[in-house]
Amino acid sequence: MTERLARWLRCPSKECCSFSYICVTGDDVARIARSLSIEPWLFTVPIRAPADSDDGFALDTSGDRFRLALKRTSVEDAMPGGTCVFLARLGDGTTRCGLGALRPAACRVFPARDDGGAILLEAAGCTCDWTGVAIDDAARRELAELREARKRYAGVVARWNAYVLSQVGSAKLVPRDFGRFLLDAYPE
Amino acid sequence: MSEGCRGCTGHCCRDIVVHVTPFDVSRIAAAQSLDPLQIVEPRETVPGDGQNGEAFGARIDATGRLFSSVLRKGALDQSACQFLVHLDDDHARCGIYADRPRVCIIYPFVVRQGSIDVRGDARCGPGDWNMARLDYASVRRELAAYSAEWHACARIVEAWNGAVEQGNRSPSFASFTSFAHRVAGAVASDTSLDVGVLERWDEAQLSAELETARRAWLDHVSIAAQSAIRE
Repeated sequence: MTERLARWLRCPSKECCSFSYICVTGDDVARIARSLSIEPWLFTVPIRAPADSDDGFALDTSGDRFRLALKRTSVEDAMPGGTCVFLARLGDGTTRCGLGALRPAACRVFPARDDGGAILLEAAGCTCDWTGVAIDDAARRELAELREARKRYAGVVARWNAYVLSQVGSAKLVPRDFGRFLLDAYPE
Repeated sequence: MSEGCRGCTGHCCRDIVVHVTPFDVSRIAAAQSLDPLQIVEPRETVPGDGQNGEAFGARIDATGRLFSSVLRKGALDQSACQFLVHLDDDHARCGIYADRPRVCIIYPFVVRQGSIDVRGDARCGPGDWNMARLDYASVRRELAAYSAEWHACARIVEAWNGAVEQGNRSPSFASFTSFAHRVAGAVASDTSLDVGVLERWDEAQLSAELETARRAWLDHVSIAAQSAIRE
């Protein structure tokens, strides 16, 4: 276990699982759905995406785009605004990720990010102290995997969007349709 | 994920008190970077908890009552296992699925009249388990390993209770859990042990070789427990 992973695991509050939506790729969705036998629409929600984002999927021809993010708990939860739905709150109030090894690629790389070729360990909103933690080989590998997954996903989203745009005048599509398309596009 | 668990709403994680062994606790602690006391809490045992119907548990106070270790409940839903993740009203999943206790792995199966069956008090929905499609070999291996680790747990508890009775240890749940965790860790890290014996533990026809291996494994657990008592 790398020091980066150990420090993240030990973090009692997991602010990273609460301060923003966690966007997923098609690889993440298919892996979680198949491993846990839960359909994508039960654990993801669509959130608004910039019109020119390559992971933004359309549901109609209006030009609106959406991203898939992990669902959040309701605002009545102990954390204002909710948390990732997979965050388990233990009896002593500390938290652990309920996805473990299945968690999205964006979570696995945390808090590493690629800054124009240089890898940095930092994340806005995170209250952990990352000083003294080395950039490990796993971070490099996981960042490379995330880049590849996003590239693959952009291709799948482009195919979906082309289909949606060809459906002018048809019934409005819903996120569940996109979820089914993902399971089809990422076979077991 | 087991086929029968696919439509699960987590009844078994809410309605059942999950009794665990030090081996379960060690696996979860390592995988989740948790202290064992964040995982388990004590629960007084009642006659019938043991494999042979005896009261089975550790002495953790001066009263002589016996306690077993059970998974703690969650902070938000105190009726549910703390590791249960609620997706919505109809869907829930185990948040430590890959490292879940053996008793959860084997749920809801038991051996009845010599073969595997769904236990009578299973909280699963009707038709969730199609016995014609069950991977019997895999379930039997898991049931055997479950049984083996509970036999080993009995040795650990026996060593602890003996030490308490002789005044070598002050009874408390924290010190028992720490002791049991050390023993389980020592057993798990001993590469000289034949762990294959766990999966064959309950073979109906005990060969002399398997019987010897079973005894050797349990003796090793007792030695590790006595060693931890002396530390």
